[in-house]
Amino acid sequence: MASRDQEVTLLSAWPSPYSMRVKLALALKGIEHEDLPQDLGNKSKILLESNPVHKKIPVLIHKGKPILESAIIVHYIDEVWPETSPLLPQDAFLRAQHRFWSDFIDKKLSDSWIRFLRSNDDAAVNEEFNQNCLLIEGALAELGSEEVGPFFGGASMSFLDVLLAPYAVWIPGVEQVMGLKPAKCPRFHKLLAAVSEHPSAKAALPQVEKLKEFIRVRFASK
Amino acid sequence: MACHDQDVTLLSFWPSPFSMRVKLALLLKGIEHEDLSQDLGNKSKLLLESNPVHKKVPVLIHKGKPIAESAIIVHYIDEVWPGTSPLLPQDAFLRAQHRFWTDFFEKKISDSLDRFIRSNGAAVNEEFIQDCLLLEGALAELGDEEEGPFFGGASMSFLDVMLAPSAVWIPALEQVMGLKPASQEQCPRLHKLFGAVTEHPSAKVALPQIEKLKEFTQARLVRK
Repeated sequence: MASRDQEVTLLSAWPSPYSMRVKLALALKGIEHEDLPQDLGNKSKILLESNPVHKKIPVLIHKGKPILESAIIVHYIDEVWPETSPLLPQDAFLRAQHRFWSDFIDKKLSDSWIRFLRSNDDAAVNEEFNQNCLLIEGALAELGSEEVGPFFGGASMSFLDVLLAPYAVWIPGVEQVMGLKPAKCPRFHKLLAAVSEHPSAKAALPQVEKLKEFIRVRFASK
Repeated sequence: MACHDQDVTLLSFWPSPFSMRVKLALLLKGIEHEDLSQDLGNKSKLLLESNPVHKKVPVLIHKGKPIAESAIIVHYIDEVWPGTSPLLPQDAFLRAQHRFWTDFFEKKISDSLDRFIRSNGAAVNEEFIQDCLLLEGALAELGDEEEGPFFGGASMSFLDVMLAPSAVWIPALEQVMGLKPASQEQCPRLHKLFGAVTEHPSAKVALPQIEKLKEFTQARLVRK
């Protein structure tokens, strides 16, 4: 155990949902690590050297080797530290479902989300985001077990729950600062509420009030 | 082995590079399957029911359950049939590299090629060449030239399967639409990799002939 835990560094940025995902995975698995917040307006040598292709955070550096792209990093963390809080399911078909919805989240859900942030409260984009949330709601009905717990993973968080977790703070933030009207997705909302209550999430996700300030400055004051 | 192979159906479309990837993975692993060609202009009930979110090919249906998105399907195939022709590396860090470069290909190269095609060859392809240079760098880092031309050395690996359709699509776009690929001087190892793909027995079955792909591309151009 100890040898794997050596030299785990995270290049992070507290408002980034992608950074939050990795922080959460590390917290769920109890992996000690060094957290190096990055100034994205003035990128550090370590960031540019460890991610020369995209120059973005998060970057996980493990035993000197960089791993990039949040979903790929969480996948890696799950494979290297499999015993505590396993994230991907055992079953190959369910694993494929988690990867499918991960791809959907990053291609469709996140894309419509980012366009809403840049759109100055455009109702059509809000609706598009909501339609994508409804698909997530459907996936949750199919893959989760309500009797077992609120997450895709039932009572405990799984891969998809980690990827979606940042919305637990970002959706309220954008709702309150920018007038986002969220969709009626009862199970998705229960999931996000359960995320907010989770001890690891409290360590990995920023306070909504702090995020609101950031959102105000970054997106709303245009 | 036999019970794994039961009920494997591929919803395919021969020119689709994503469909080609899955076909190649199935052939490399010797997995018997039913290949159901799809008419994308008139989507079948089976396609719409098995991929309601994206309504796209390829879809793999295994024991009645659908798996969609080519990289995810190849991942699944590799996990369910690990004995023959393993695709993803054993090492977790190398696996992360294969996933990273697959993601890079999707976001950058596939995207550039798509824009090139949609603009009827008008969009600048300099970015495409720069991205190929990055891929050449990845091959230098991850592949072992003494072992073989592939990312997997002497045999094809996950990343080789992801890239294989470019071995026929890039020449087709070059000859029909004037795409300028990176030269052999710029990307010597990638050129060797694609050369090796076209010689590979499984790829010869999974990938269409370049001439046929050229006709397909030409016909679509004319229709615009």
